[in-house]
Amino acid sequence: MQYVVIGDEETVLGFSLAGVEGKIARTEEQTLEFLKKYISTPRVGVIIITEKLASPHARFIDDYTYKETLPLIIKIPDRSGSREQRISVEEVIRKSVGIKI
Amino acid sequence: MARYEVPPTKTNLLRLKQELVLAQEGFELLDQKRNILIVELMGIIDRAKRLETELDDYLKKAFQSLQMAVRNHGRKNLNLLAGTIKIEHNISISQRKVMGVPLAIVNVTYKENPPYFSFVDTNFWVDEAIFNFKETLKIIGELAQTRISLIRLAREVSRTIRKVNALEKIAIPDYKETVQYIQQRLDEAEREQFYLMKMIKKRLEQKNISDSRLQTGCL
Repeated sequence: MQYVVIGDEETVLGFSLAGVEGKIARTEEQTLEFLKKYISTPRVGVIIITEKLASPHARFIDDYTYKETLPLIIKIPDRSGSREQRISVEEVIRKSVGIKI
Repeated sequence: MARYEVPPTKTNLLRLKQELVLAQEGFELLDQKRNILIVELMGIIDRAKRLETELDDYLKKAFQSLQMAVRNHGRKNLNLLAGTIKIEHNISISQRKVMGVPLAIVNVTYKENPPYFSFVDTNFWVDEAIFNFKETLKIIGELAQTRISLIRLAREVSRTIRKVNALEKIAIPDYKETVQYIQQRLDEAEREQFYLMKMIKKRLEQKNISDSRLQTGCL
C-alpha cells in the first residue's frame, strides 16, 4: 500500500519529491472529493492531509477514523505550521479517561 | 435507586438473583478491561507526544529546504524533477487487537534507485529537500500508527468507563434493592402463612376437644 497526500501546492510538491502521489485541493468540496476518492482506493494505506484542509471536514474524518481500519488518515501542519486547531494528545485523554496528564 | 416493577414471587427472586450475579461478573470483567486499556493508553502517550514534536521539526526543516530549492530552480523545474523521482513506498498494515480494539501496525519499506536526475544542473537544496521529506514520511508512518491507536483506545476507554459506571452505580444497586424487597415480601408471606397454620391448628384442636366432650357427655 502507499502514501497519498492531499494538501496545498507546497505540501504536494514537497512530498512528490519523496515519491508520494498527491492532489492539490483548493476548496472544501475538492478536499472532500479527493478524500472520498482515496478512501475508496484499495492501494491507499495512509492519507496525509494538511490541517487547514482537514479542519472543515473534521467531523467526517473523526467518524471515519473510529469506524474504519484502513486507510489511516493523518493530519500534518502545513508550511505556516499552524497547529492551534489540532486537538492535542492530552485533550483526547482528558476527554476519555477524565485524567489530566 | 429504583426498584424493578416485578411481582414478588419466588421465581422472580431466583431470576433476579441470577441476573445480579451476572451483572457483578460483567462489572468485574469490564473493570479489568478498563484497567488494561488505560495501561495500554499510557504506554503510547509518550511515544505519540515525542513523535508529534519530531514531525513538526522535520516538516519545518523540509519546508525550508523546499523553499530554497524552489528559489533556486523554479517551481516548474522542480515539478518536472519530482516526476522523475521513483521512490517506492510499501506500507504494510497489520492489526493488533487489544481487548477487541483494532490497532494498526504500520510497516514502511522503501525502494529507491538513485540517482534520478543529473547532478550537473541541480544543487544541494533539492537533495536536501528530498532527504528531509523522506525522513518526514518515516515519522508520519509511525505517527499514523500511534495517533490512531491512541484515538481508538481513548474512545474504547470512555465507552468502557460508561458501561462500568452504569453497572456499578445503577444496575447492581437496583438489582440488590429489588432482590432485598422480594426477599422481605416472601418472608412476610411465609410468616403470615405460618401464623395462619398455627391458628387453624389451634382451632382444630379446640374443636376436637369440644367434640370429644360432647360425645362423652352424650354417652
